[in-house]
This record gives sequence, structure tokens and C-alpha cells, in this order.
Amino acid sequence: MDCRRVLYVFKREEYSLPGEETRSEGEVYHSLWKNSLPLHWRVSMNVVNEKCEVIRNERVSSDGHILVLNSRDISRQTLPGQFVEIGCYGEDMILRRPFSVFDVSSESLSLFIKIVGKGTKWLSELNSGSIVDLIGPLGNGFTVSSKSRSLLIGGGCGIASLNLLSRKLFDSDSNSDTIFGFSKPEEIPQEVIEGFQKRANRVLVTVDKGPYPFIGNVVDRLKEIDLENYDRFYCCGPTRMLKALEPFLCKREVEVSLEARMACGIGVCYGCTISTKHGSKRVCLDGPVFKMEEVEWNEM
Amino acid sequence: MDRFSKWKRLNGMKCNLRTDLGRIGILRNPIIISSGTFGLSKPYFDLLESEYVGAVVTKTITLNPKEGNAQPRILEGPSSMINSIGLENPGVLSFIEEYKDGYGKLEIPVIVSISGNSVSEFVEIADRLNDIDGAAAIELNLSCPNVDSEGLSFGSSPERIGNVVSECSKTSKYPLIAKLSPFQSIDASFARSAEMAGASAISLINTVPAMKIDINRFRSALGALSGGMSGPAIRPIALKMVYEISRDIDLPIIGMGGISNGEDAVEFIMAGATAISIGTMNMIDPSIPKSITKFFENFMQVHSLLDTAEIAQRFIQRNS
Repeated sequence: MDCRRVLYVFKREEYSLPGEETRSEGEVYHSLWKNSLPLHWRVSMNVVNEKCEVIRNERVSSDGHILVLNSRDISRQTLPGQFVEIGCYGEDMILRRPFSVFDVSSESLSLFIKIVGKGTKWLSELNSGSIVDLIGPLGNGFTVSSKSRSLLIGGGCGIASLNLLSRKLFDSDSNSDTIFGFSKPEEIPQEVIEGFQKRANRVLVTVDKGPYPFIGNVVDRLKEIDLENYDRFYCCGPTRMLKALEPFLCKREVEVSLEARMACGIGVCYGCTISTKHGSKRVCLDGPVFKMEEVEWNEM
Repeated sequence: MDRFSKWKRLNGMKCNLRTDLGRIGILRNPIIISSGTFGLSKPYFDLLESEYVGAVVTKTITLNPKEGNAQPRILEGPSSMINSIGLENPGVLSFIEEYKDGYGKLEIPVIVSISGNSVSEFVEIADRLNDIDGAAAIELNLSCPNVDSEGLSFGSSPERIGNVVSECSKTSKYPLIAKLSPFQSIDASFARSAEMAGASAISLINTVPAMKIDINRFRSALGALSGGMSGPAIRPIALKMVYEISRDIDLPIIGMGGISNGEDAVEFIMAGATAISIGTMNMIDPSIPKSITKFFENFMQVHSLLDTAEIAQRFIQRNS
């Protein structure tokens, strides 16, 4: 076994650490977080390895699929903004792939898969009944405060982590508005957007090009909005988009979820580090959610 | 040996996975966690399932803190991973500071991996590491393909390898392991030179220099132009190198390179490795030391072998 809580919890049913009673679910803390993060980040959780069965694989846009997986251990603990690492098996594939958790229920977990390469292609072609290997929940999530006013800004598959967030905000009596940017109209997952519309006061969608009522990027739509109406901002999308948002939002309370190329997903390989004002940090372990002001955007 | 005595021999006896690494000591298990796949932060340690691991190797430590290379640092190829992390680490002083509460508390042997840009840097790190207690050995990373400047050239000739090893062994209180790689040719003179200079073991192999180009962007797909390849794709290369060098030297060899299951591990033992080390697969399937241990136990039971040395002996008998 490797060397962190994952590994211990991993086979929790079989044995516990010497001299230690098996701790019940909810009591085991992710030790790194416990030690190094401010209070509101502290969440009790287990990182587990789970074999999940594909319940449904639904195509929701030209290149987007929603994969619903049968999961008990991971789904019950996942917080908005956290991710899972999936083993993809096929020609030329060896590493696990990180995906934000799109939605959870007590028995299932869903992921929004945008086809960009071999791994995502493989996942998009899975039939129901197939088994996938997941490690999660990983990383730290968004801060959800009740009765707040928030603006969610997403680009492309950034919609994935914002979906669970918007649900959690809705459940905690918070008001949220949403802006989404896509590159083409056919990439817009209508069903997902409708879901957001049920929970948000206002959902604005924009596309880079193509026949659509609003052409432009998320920054263009942001200009229509009075930012003073919001206490908090959440952004998730391609680095280019986040970088473009930074001048508009830098003085505000903003949390960004970063995408990165990862190997291990648990903080051992240092493959996904980024520069921050507090030195280099690992997206998988210290993120994927960072405070916008913390990130060195010039070096991204 | 007739069937009955074989049965008697194995009856009630557990397969012995204890592994004698000479001056470095005896490991409870031939499975080692390779450098760079264990992280550096102490919160991992209390989570390690030590019963399935013989030793761990730290991420490579350099004299000064190192930021590592530009992103992207990780790529995937056919059955392989290419990385160009560039030895990101907090430097030897921070490492020593954290050692007491971190690595020093591990119940399994810890091998400290170090790298420098010059012989004097290697010696200085080795000297500073004398302050820490209880490490099992120091592994000299003479072959990381991800470091610029002179770092690369250490492995380039037997003399240079010999020089680093002998200077470090004068300074260090710990036994030394020389980590070599196939781009230093399969010639055993490199390993022999390390042996003569006082190394206690040889690690084979480090990642293999590799690159990938993003043709649409007309540039290298890695932030640092090129990197080091690991994973199952390099396994046959590593195996041959272990085989060649183990014929020629007496030192224990720690074999690594794409080991991803029990069969692979047994192959390396047959080729002449005393211990085996898991790198890339560790990050993909964290339970791999356990499954390899189980495989060893089963394999040795089936073939009536008492310890891992017998696996190698039987291979030699059949192939000489």
C-alpha cells in the first residue's frame, strides 16, 4: 500500500492500524487538511477506493456525457468542488483521470465527461453495467455558506463542479446566479442548464461563436452584472478563462477551481504544482479550489 | 528432494520474504517504494501499510530548495508515463528539520535519495544528512534525466560515478546506493566502478530519457522539453540491465522499472535483483505492495521455495 490515509482507509474493513481501533465513518480526518487548513475547510472524510458500476451513460451535448455511477462510500462524503480519480483501461492508457464530481445522491455519483482525449472517449463509450475503479473524494472543495449571495462562473466542463455547488447553495438558502460560457452552441448541455435555472435566479449563457442569442465570452456577460450584488464568487473553467476574469474579480471573495494534468491525485508525485503567493502548491492536494488572490496568475 | 520432505519443509512454515541488502541491513520484505512516489509530507506516514513494504525511498533531496520544471510535467504514452517534475523539493535543511517528526518516526527503513549539481554538492548533502538518525542508507541519484546542467553528466562515465561515490562514502556515515540508468549504457563497468568506490548496493534503473511533441502547437508537449519515462513500457529494458549487471558485480541490486504486479516482481528477482522497487504503479494502484506480497507468498508456496534467494538460484540453475 502507499502511504497516506487513502491507503489505510482503503482497506479499512480488513484491518486497522496497529494499536488503533477502526474509526467509524466521519471520524477519520484527512490528516493534511486537519493540520494545515483554516477551520472552515475542515471536513471529516475518508478517501476510499471503490469499484463502481455504471448505471447510466447519457449524452447531453455534442461532446458531453453524464456518467451515473453506483457508489456508496464516495458519494456520501463528496463536497462540491472535490474530485475523483478514475482508472481508464485501454490502449496507451495507464494513468487515472481526475474528474470533478457533478452530482451525488446517497447511492450514486455522477460525472460530467467532456470528450477531449483517449481517456474521456473511453469513458463516454462505457455501457451500463461496466465497472470503473474510483479513488475519492479527493482535494478540497468550495466553501458553502448559508444565506449568501453568490455568482457562479463556469466555462466548458467547469460546469461539472459548479452543478453540485449550486445544489448545495440552494439547499442552504443561498441565492445564486450563474454565467456559463461554451465555445459552440451544440456544446451547451441543455438539461444541465435547465437544472441550474431551477435553482438560480438568473442563468446567463454565452458562446464564443455560432448562431446564438449571445455571442461573446463570460467576461462580456460579467459586464452586464452588478458585482456588488454578490458576497462571493465561484469560478471553474479553463485557465485562460480564469485568467481573464482575474482583473474583474481580484478585489473580491473569489474561489477558483483549477484544472491540471495529474498522475497520482493524492499529492505524492508533484506533477500538478502551480505557483501561488505562498510558494508552489499541488492542485490535487492543496486544491483544486484556491482563493483567486492566492494564485500567481502571471505564471499560469 | 522427494515430495514428502518438501511437504515437511514447507509445513507450518511461512514463506520467508526477509531480504538481505548487505550493509544496508535486512528488510522484512523485498518491496521498496521508489523515490518520488512517496511524497515528502509526514501526514502520509502513519498511513503506510508497513507490513507489506520493506523500505521507502524519499523524494530526491537537493542542497537548495528546488522549484522544479514548468508545467505540464506529466504525460502519458503507450504503457508509460513521462514526467519532468525536475526534483521539486524543499532542500536538505528543511528536510532535516522535518525528518524527526516525519520519516524518523516510520517503523520501516528509510532510504534518503539525494542529487547534486557537482561532487561537492553531493558531499555537502551527505555531510548534512549525518545529522539525522536512523536512516537505512543514502541513494545517490546519479541519473535523473530531469535536471539541467552538470547533474546529467554524473552518470556519463564510470570515473565520474566512482568519484561521487568515493567522496560521499568518505563523508557519510550511511551506506550508499548508486542509482544508475540505461542511458549510461548497459556496460557493467559503471556499476563496478560504484562498487569499487564503496557503494553498498546498486539501484537499477531510473527513468529513461524521453520526449513528446505537441504537433499542433509546434512545441514540446512537456514544459521542460524532455523528461523521463517510467511505467510498464521500460520494464524489459530494466530487466535486461538488472540481468547484465547482476552477473558482474557482487553488490545487492534493487531492481525497478515498470513493475506492476507480482509476476513482474518475480521476474526481477530471477534476473538477479535482491529487492524490487515500485514507482509509477504505486500512484495508479496504491494497494500494489500488498498484492505483490500475496503473489510472492503464493508463488513460493507453489514452487516450494523458502525465500526469495531460492527464486534466483533456481533461475540460474535452469539457465546455465
